[in-house]
Amino acid sequence: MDKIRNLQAGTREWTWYVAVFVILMIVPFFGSIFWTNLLTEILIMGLAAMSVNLLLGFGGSLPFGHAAFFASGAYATALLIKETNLPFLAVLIIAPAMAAVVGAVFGIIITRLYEFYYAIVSAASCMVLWTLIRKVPILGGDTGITGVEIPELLSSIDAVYIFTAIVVFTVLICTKILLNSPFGWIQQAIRENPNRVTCTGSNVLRHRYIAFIISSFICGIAGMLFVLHTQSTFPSYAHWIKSGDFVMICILGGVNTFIGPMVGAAALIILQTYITSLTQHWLLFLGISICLLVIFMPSGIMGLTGHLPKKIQSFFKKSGHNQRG
Amino acid sequence: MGDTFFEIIGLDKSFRGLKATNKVSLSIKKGEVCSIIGPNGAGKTTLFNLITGLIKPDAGKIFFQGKDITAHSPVEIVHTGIARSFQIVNNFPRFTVYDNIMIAVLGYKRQALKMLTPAKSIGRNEIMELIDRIGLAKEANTLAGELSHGDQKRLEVGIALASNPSLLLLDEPTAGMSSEEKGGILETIKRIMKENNCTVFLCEHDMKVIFSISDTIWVLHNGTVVTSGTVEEIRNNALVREIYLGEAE
Amino acid sequence: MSGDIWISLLIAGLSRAMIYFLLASGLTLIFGVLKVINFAHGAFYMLGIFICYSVVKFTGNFAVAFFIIPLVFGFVLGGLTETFLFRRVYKAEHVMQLLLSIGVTYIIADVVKIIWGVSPYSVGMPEVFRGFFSLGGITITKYNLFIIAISLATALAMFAVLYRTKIGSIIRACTYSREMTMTAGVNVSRVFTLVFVAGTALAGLASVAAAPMTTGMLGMDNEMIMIVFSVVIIGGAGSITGALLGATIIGVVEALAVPVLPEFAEVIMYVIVAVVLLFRPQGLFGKSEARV
Repeated sequence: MDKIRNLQAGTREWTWYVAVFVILMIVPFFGSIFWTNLLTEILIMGLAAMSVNLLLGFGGSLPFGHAAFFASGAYATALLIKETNLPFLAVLIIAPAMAAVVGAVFGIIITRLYEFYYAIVSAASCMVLWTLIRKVPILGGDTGITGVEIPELLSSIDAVYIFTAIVVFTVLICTKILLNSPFGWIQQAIRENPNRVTCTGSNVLRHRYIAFIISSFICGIAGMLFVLHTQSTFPSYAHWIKSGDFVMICILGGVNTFIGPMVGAAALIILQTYITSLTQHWLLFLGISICLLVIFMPSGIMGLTGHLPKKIQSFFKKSGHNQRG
Repeated sequence: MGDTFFEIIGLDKSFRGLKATNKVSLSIKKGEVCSIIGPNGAGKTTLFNLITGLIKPDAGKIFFQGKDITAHSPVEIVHTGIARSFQIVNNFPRFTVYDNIMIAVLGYKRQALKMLTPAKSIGRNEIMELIDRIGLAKEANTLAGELSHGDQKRLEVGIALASNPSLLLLDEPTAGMSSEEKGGILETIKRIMKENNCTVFLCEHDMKVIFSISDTIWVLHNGTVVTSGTVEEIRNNALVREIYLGEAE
Repeated sequence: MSGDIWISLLIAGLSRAMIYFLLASGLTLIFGVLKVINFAHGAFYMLGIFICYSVVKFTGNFAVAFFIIPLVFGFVLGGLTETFLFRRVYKAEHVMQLLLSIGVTYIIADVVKIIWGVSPYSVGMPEVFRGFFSLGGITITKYNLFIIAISLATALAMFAVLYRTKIGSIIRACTYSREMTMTAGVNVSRVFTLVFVAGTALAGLASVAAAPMTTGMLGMDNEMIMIVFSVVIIGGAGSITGALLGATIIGVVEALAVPVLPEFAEVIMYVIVAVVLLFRPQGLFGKSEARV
């Protein structure tokens, strides 16, 4: 049985974070546009996946509709910049808030459900948005919104990258604090045994609902950052396939760890960039990889660290048990 | 109102036409140990689920300290001072004993939505004291799922106690225990009653346990209260003897 | 518009509904027994349409496709995916099962792209089914009538198997409790394979039935799976009666909504889902889970 790790970061963990942050800050000085772009994308996708993992790994739900909030954040950013004269800072706050509002609406239905119902209803919910985006003219229809102008200060690739890294790390630290708070512990307790949480006097439904809104807010931030990065939005951001990607990143990295989604995002995006440079059939490769991942490596990349010897041991124990029984 | 600390009047609940409880009425006095006995399927666990609000009755009322709590949600009921342990082991298996109790304390203190302070900084002494009281001080950092069955049952009681109840419902606290373990947990229950000043409503199969600890006993059969009385009265009641003691022994 | 046109629309909607039913019944049957939701069901449907196109083109005979494809689908596609993939994750967490089925979706989508390319295909309407019946002002195309008949026959056959045969009672027992059935000496693993094969065969049947009135193209799987999910949610997961009712509601509402609100027919479907869920979270025919 795996112990639920105490998520309170020790000094060693903080050192790691600071070190990684410093390294990330240096990257632009190497002048590789390719790597800067790639890292921006990794950080953003990692953030989105982390918002999913807040509900998946730490809440025990099956959120297959977070593309809706990613798209909400992205479209809100694009529209606010294009159609209004709001100051840029206000946009940065309102856009994720819009995602949270969408989350609050969908959450009314979704958070009352469990397991497969939760999964397919959340998947359906992002398809509602997908349909709307394609049909409502102001949202740009099938072609999406392109040419979103961002302020002078953030117009270079390096600037967007630095901004993204700072925002992502800030959100990471906030998430970490959240997970260590009573809120985070109850969230994990709900994953383990929701009925028991009710019987100890915490309102599970309300808790799931609030966690859902927080998660959609964070996903909205990721969507917003992605618009700053690409300066365009497309309906495909809201498709359930996108939600599937987020879940896939979480599993790849390891759902039972805090940093897993970031690791998963890095692995997936680097792999994708490499494979698509070789062949057009990335989807086939991805499909086969998912099957192998699910069957042979269910605890993800972070699950491999330090667990391999234990796994081999338990394998032999199991076969011994079979002989006896 | 002093007399009717807790009272149930005419509680009805049926599942798909099958009556699980049929016009059950009973009352509990403050400070006593009240037990409910009856063969399997008599409706004991249903009764507990009704009291704690996990299921809603078709008819009837539940009063606690003079308040009608029939329509209260399970969460509200915990906060009015009724807590329960479960018959089956029902904890957070991948959490340590400490964390299990902590979750319950957080719920009781209504801290579930606090987002900025670390959870571990809340109620530390209180939690350790409670763990000590249920006799698991040595196991505070063991995962609940790795405890022995008897210790899991203790933890079960501990989780219920964390919400500082004035009425403690114990659903078969000794099920599946050895006789030494049973003695141990009975001592713990008696001690806790004194220290926490709470009333205990117990549901049990083991007649020895029932007779050794109860002040009042209610007998449930096919969802109906058949009779009630003190230990002596029940022990000598011919009907009870014939139907239940015969089956249980 | 006159009433006659509405009735014609209604019948067209019903025949769409029957396609949804065939797909949803397979999905819900698999869910009921295996407790797995198969995202790849939509991809199976798309694959079936493309295969149907090739078979018709090769043999020139729609009847061959109609009888062969569901069988091949069930035994080859269903059998293989169950034995090599799904069987390994029955005990895993639900998210793993869902992710696995998404993986299968990706594989099928890319295989279709490799074999048939990116351009859309359509299977011509077979000679026998061309034309329509007229009753007063009401026109009903022959093929719509054929689909409704075939699907209702399939539904009847499913009920007959489930409620009148030994294997049917075993399947229903598995839906109720896997462990109990196992202790009764049933080889549950074989029942699982059988149910998966049957469910996939139903997807194959749906795709051949839909082929003459649909255009096969990449991406159709993703849209279809959402419709089928909606049907299953409305009807209640695991219930075939529910699938029939849910499919009828969605198919008919969709058909009647098109003339009124052509742009938002799909949105109306999701609104129905939301309303049903608000009042009956377990769907119309679903069993409610004892959750607090």
